[in-house]
Amino acid sequence: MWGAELSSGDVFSLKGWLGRGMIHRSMGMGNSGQPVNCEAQGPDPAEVSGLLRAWGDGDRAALDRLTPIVYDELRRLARHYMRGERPGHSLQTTALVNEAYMRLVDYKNMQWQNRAHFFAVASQLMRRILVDHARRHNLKRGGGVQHVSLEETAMVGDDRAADLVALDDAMDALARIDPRKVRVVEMRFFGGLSVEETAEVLKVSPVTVMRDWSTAKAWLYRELTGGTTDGT
Amino acid sequence: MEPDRWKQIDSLLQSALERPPEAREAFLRQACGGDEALQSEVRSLLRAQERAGGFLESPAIEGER
Repeated sequence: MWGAELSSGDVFSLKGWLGRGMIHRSMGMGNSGQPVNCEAQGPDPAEVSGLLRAWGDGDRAALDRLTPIVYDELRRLARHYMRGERPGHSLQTTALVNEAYMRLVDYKNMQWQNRAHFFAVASQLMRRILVDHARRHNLKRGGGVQHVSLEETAMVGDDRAADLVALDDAMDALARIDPRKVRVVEMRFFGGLSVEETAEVLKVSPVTVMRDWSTAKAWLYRELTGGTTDGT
Repeated sequence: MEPDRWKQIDSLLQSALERPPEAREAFLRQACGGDEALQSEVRSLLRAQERAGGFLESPAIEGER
């Protein structure tokens, strides 16, 4: 159910989906026609919570309605974080997604499984938001990605943009071989989900998630450091 | 890559990782049964796994100022 519905096909369809949020919204997402992402009046938490539960019960249309709402909120929050408008906050994806969750969802009445599912869709969107941001950053700095630095301190500073773009490409390549492993990377790296939460969403055991994670890490690391089958 | 081939590679990598580092090469030689390409593929992933360290272990954008 969940695992099948949240396959890598969704990852790719999201690329085509981005930018169509306004259309979704004009088709009835916003209540009373107000902008959904304005500071004072956000989407109705009861409505968002209902969509999340319906999606958890297998209602695919609920995911389609949920996605633009979550995307708008994440993008808005991400802009604040990236501009440094949140001094004193620890800047972690997990914190950002959690803030979106608290704002959008009637979280006091949700179960941890609902939260995991929210983080799962948010992780795919965070991947898109961060990678799009990184691609624009690269363009501004004038040109293609020449150098990929993958020290343990990667994903920090100027090299981070190049790294994220390269990582995104490598994840696309891995998705052609093993889509589930890419979902694991998305949820853990871009969504900050725990092993147990990832397992819940994918409907596999935590051991399987840990194995997927270690194989995916090895494969992506090799891809990004230019290693070949021969290990050279 | 053929799905069956990838499953085999994945499974061998995980089996190797369950063994102590010094026992992995011998395990691979025996488990791959002379399939040099298979052995080489799993070995390179093993090396990547050993070097990967903290790669991807901190969620994205952590640490950005």
